[in-house]
Amino acid sequence: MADINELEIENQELSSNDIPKSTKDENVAPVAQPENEEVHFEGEEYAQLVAEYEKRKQEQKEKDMNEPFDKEALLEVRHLRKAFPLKKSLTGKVLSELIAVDDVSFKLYPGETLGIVGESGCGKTTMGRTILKLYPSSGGQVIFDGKDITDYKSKDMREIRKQMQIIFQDPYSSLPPRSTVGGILSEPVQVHKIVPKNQIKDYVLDLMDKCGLRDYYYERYPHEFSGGQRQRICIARALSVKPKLVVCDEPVSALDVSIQAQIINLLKDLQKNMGLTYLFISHDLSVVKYISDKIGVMYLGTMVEFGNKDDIFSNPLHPYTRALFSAIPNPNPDVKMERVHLEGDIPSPANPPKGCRFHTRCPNAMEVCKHVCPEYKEYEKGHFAACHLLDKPKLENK
Amino acid sequence: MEENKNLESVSLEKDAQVINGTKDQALQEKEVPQVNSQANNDEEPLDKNIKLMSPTRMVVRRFFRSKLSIIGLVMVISLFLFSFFGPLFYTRWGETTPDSSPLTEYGTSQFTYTKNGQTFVIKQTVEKEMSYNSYAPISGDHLLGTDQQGYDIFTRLMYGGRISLTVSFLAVFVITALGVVMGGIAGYFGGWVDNLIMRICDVLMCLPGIPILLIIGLILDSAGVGGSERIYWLMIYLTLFSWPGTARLVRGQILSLREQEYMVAAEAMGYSAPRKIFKHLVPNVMPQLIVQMSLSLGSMILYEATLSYLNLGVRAPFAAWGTMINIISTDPNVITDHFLAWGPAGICIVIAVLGFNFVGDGLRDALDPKMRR
Repeated sequence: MADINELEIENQELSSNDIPKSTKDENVAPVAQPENEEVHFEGEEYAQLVAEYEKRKQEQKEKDMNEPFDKEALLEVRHLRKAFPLKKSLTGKVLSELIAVDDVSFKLYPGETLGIVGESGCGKTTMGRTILKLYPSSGGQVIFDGKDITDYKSKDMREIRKQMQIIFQDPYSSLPPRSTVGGILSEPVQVHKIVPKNQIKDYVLDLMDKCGLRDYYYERYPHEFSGGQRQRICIARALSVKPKLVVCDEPVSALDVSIQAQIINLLKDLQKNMGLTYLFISHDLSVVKYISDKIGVMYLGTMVEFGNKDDIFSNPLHPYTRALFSAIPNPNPDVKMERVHLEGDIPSPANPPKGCRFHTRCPNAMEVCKHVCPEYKEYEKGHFAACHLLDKPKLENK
Repeated sequence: MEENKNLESVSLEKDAQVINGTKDQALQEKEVPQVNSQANNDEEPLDKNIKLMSPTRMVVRRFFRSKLSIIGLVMVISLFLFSFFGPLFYTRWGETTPDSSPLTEYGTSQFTYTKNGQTFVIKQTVEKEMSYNSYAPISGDHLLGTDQQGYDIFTRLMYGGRISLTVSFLAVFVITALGVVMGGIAGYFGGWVDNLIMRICDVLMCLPGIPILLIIGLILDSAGVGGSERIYWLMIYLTLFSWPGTARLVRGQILSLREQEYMVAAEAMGYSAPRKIFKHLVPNVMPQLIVQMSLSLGSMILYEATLSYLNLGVRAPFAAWGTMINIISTDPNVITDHFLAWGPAGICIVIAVLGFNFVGDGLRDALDPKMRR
């Protein structure tokens, strides 16, 4: 139960051994020791470097966008961006905006579970909903099942909707209070014509059985159920249209721990039996570790690290991921916990820091991090990260 | 939202009382560990035999627990039976058939005057032959007497009730339908549609009611519209200008409901907009709507009575409660001498308005558990 929100704000020395020694000094006083810096960022040189970087990024983006779709991937997200306008001029021109999701790319293959972790407010939920087109995206592409659904109108989306579903965080507000369980579950079946009309009830009862709901719940109302049972109803509703992809938006965080395990196991069983693909959003690392095949770590709207679960847990590349994982409590009291403590609060996404978004809190931030946003690159096979520290050996060689 | 949650908590509490009968059974069930372990290892398995109530039934129960709302319901229902079924049984007099049995009225007067020291007393008896039985007292023939023109007041009360209730029910239903559609569209779609509809509402709410009704009354006069049809024309006007209240209510509710997660779920399910509005949003606005409807029924009856009293609406010889009270404007003595001519109609209006308001209040309390005293 490592809640990221609980990361203590405390000053402590960095514990990881992957980071070169010299960077520690910068952490203490990056300005006071300019001779330690590898690159200077001043005046023209700085502008040129940033421009160069921006150009390279733009080129990379264009190249990525024009690439053919990955035929095997169920969901491919390319440079997804979602910004909410904060202020508008009279003519409707956006003056300032909150960038909730910025430049997120990943691929998800059928049958896999991708766990998305990150602090509260880092854009996990927004990303999930933007992928489902519950929010219109403000840039990038979402390719679902070989089709670019980015520009689909709501009419075209209706067909796609039954293939991608969502389970919400709060089982109390996500069920309509005035319909019975049977009504809630049979309405989508009826609307999408999943089975012929006379078989709807049998289908729904079968589905309820699969989700651990008894048949006499059919006539009951949501208010008669506890949180865990309601979440089962939500799961049954999401699965009633036989989706391929299910976005689980923190499905267990509103439940108590014993029920969490039941729901997680139910989700796992259903995945096995129905061949589902999950995009599992959570801030609970132990849950994500248990259910996921791949993990994406988000910070302030960007994906900072992405890879197979084992790769990420055995070799976390990004300092944020390391800080996050160090917060997982170890049940063995003899093991000394080496925690990476992050200073300060998460910056506001309405006014994100320049350069690397994590540099304000990064224990190993360099001067370059303050000015240039790091590139999201593949460092090992299938293991992506965005951090200047990983490029540092190259910078030193120059 | 908060309302819903509150409703839930109260309903659960209520359930505990309701199931008292089967409680022992429930306890027994709990002692048997996991009767059906394959189906569910979940918390607190609900007993199959416990009949839990739907939200609607719970509201009905709460409604009938309040004395005032029962009184209101009785008032309203008895008025209905009186007006709509009464004339079927009490057929002695018709709405516009006066009691034309001639009436001879005798008036005596006496004058005294003095002339040249002599006192003269002049006694005078006037015999007045009337062509109808006016201002008859209560009798077996006329249960509540007759009015100036010899119409049976009891009969006219029933016919007046018919028109008052019909007109106000029609008006309220049309107002509600218009309000739901316009408010639903405004609240659901938002943006410029919302702006447009709300500005139309603002304009309509600015218009003064009675002066415009007076003008329409004049127009109807010149068009020669008959006494029983006029009220419908006036109510059409009232309807067209009264829906903004309901529309605002519906819009406000939908704005808050739209952000609920179950609406996001409906969106994720790919339901069409009409389905979302009318199957998911409007049923959740129904409680407030029903309250609004029952309260505005009362005000519509008052409106109808006012119009008829002002001689704009239903006109003699047709009966309406307002028209019947209008008799006091013809003769100043009526208000003191002939209470029966106008009193019953006024009492009927009071009963109707009170009844609808009691029912409305009772419904509001039943639907909103926060209001419990």
